[in-house]
Amino acid sequence: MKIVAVTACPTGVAHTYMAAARLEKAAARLGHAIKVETQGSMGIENALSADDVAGADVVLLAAGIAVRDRERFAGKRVVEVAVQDAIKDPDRIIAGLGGA
Amino acid sequence: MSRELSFRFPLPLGLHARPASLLRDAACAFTSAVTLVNRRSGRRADARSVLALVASATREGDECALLIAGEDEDAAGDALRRLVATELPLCDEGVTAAPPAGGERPLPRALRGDHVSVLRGTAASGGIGRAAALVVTPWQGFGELDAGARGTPDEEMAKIAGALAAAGAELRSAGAAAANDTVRAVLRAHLAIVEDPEFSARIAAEVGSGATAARAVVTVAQRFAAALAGSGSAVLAERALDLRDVAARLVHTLAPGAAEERIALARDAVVVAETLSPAQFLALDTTRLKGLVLASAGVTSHTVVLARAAAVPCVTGVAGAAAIADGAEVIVDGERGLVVAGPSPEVAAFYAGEATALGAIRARLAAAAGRDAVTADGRRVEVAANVASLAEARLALAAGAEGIGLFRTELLFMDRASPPSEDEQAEVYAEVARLAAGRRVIIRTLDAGGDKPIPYLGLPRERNPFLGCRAVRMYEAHPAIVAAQIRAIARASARGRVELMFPMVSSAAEAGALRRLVAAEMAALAAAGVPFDPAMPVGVMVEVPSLAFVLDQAASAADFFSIGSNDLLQYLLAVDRDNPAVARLYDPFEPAFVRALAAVCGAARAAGRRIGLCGELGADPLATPLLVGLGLDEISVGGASVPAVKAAIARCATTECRELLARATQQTSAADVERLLRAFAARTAGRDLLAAEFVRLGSEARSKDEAIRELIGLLRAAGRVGEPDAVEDAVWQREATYSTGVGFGVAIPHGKTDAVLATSIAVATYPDGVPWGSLDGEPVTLAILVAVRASDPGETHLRTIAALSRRLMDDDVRTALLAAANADEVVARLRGAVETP
Repeated sequence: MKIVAVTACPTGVAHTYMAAARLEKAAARLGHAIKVETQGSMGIENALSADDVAGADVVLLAAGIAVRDRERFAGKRVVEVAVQDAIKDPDRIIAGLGGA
Repeated sequence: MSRELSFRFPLPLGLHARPASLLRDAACAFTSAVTLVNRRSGRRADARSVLALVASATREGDECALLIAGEDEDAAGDALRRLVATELPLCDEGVTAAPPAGGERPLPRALRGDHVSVLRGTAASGGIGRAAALVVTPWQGFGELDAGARGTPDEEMAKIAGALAAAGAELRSAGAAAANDTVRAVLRAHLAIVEDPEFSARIAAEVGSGATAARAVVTVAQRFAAALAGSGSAVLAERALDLRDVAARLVHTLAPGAAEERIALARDAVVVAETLSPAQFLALDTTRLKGLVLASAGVTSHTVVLARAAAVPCVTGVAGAAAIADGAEVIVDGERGLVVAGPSPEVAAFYAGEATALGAIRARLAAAAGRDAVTADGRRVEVAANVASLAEARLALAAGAEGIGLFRTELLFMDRASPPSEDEQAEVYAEVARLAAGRRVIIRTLDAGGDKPIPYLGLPRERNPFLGCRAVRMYEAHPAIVAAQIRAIARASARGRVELMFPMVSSAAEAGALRRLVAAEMAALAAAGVPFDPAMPVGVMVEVPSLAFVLDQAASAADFFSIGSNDLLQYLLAVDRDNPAVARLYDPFEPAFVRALAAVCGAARAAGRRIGLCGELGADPLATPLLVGLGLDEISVGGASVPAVKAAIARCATTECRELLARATQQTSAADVERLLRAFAARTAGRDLLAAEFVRLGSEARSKDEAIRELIGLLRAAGRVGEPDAVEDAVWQREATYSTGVGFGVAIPHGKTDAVLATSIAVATYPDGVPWGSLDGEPVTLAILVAVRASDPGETHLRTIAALSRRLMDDDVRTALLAAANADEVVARLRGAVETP
């Protein structure tokens, strides 16, 4: 499964990056490809390209705030979770993406 | 004939003691009568009387005139016009009248809730004090003033003259024995009232119309006080207490028993009063005085200034002070301007922690003061201080100055009728050397000129004093004064590490002539058998651009050079920075100036001479890497800037600073140079995001509250956090969205606010675990506090924190952190984790 994800949190200092790291590890563990864009204090990093989005099976938004440029995911299957849940139990979240 | 000078009074604080003294000194330099007329209030004042000037109740914006009449009215008029146009408007620079605007600051978390009753006031003197309250009854006014036998007016006048003379003598001897310069300054202000011509003239008039001596004194003092109170200026109104003190001192002699009683402290106490006069404060035993709570407002009264100098915590303007019962336990929070009467155990515990934290901050400053400045790669750069008095030297050395790089001697020569004697000077210079205790003291010879009036020098009024007969250029006309000063400095060289420096030297020939002057005076001292150090180094200042081009030649007459950056810059750029029309051109980052500095330092090094810099550029931490790159041996700055400059030096390495300088000299505008320096600062600031002193292993904090306060406390003790309460609030505000306990026993509390002075990371471990409301419900064993400065976080810092957050998700990184044996290991592992991609 190809996953694209965006992480974001209220201050953009820590959780955005922790969630990104947890999701990347969990996806690798479960044998999925993932690319995670972070929207934090450093601005947008590891930005998802139009090709990334087009080629993805599912879009995962792990955010505590509104995600920027959300309209680029129009027409895709989008799953939203709380950023803290992505940190707490990434395996469950990743596993849950396949069974839609 | 007479002259009239109209102007609008420029100072927001009104015509208070400082500007009044300035006017008085200027008026006293001439024989003409000078009268200030305030057209708004209609009051007139003799400019020779500070009291009369102050009592004219002149406020900002008042239309005023100076009437000048007498033989030298033209010269006096010119001098006063210059004073009113240039010096007067700048006279209060750096003085803050009111506390910063803005609403009430929130209470610290520990003091919120219904169970705590907190009185609010204004923080006037810092620190935390705790003791039983001693409530002082409000002053009831003077007692029976007319009890004694009433003499004839002549007899009463004689009594007053005696009392004034006695008060003058008392104040003088008390001033000589004063514990510090603040006390001395307050006593001097009282002496000025005693000696004020207007004060005694009005007392005489009262006696003339039949009053007793004591009654006359009190009447006149009250009239002046009422004028001050009605001036509409808080600063002036606060001076009324000084008048009451002087009146009390005189009444004490004239009508014993009518003056107020002193307050006796039998044990440790917090004094609670409506008002307290400076003399009342001075009579208190400050070893027992734990705090001061005043119902009256004001942070500029002499009483408050004295409390600050004695490090007594003080809160003023406490509306609820009257409710405090005598003997009640009171905590005075001079940091936040709070008073708690009858504190609960929780509040007492909070303040015990606060007192410890403040102690740690003082200890840190003291420790930093004891360390010599070295660059990151181990090169020594001396950080010395520019001072103008013994008092400043004492403060600067206590703040960690590694010597006195510039002792300005002008103050010794000002405010007097004749020059100071050789003996008097030698004593002062030797005292600085003694204070410096083996560290170098550079004493600069007299740098007077048309802009600094010293009446007995008979300096000409010049159209352009900065290009005129100032500093060494007037030495030829005053050989005796110059010889006495050189001898005095040489004599001090026998008592410590003293060096002599000449200001405003503009050619090698001039340097040579001055050097011969020193040799001649040394020969005279030797012949008279007076001890001195024949090897005393003699240097010259590099501040006239012409000297910069002949440094190799001047080196034969100079043992060292010191760049006077302020003057060198204004002469090089031909900019008077006090002239608002061109002030923007006065920029030390102008590439031409950077190149000039590089050339001067290169020439000094080539000649094998020591090179230092004294001037404001030295105190700008942004410029420090540039100055290190120049290879300066010494940077001399105002005493208060010493710790910051030392810290800035420690952040940078010599090689990268040299590269920075090379790039700076290639820039084409001051803005480009500044941009370069800012980028460099951002890069190096990241080096101290985390330090061992920000780490506490095995913390005993039991609650999230305690843990967060402790983490912030670590940063506060290191000087990274300004207002701990505000940081606490920012962190808790973030916790309110959802807990930062991310699981695995780890919490990353964080907050973004400008109460953080420098973005930092603090770490604590909790062997027993702290409940944190974590995502997985487990207690926290490792907390990493990320405190971000909101307005200027620095991209490098944020990148580091982002990398850290990611790496903390690795089991092995967390295990390694928890297993660290000491703080250094935690720092090393965190840095390692961040730098490994």
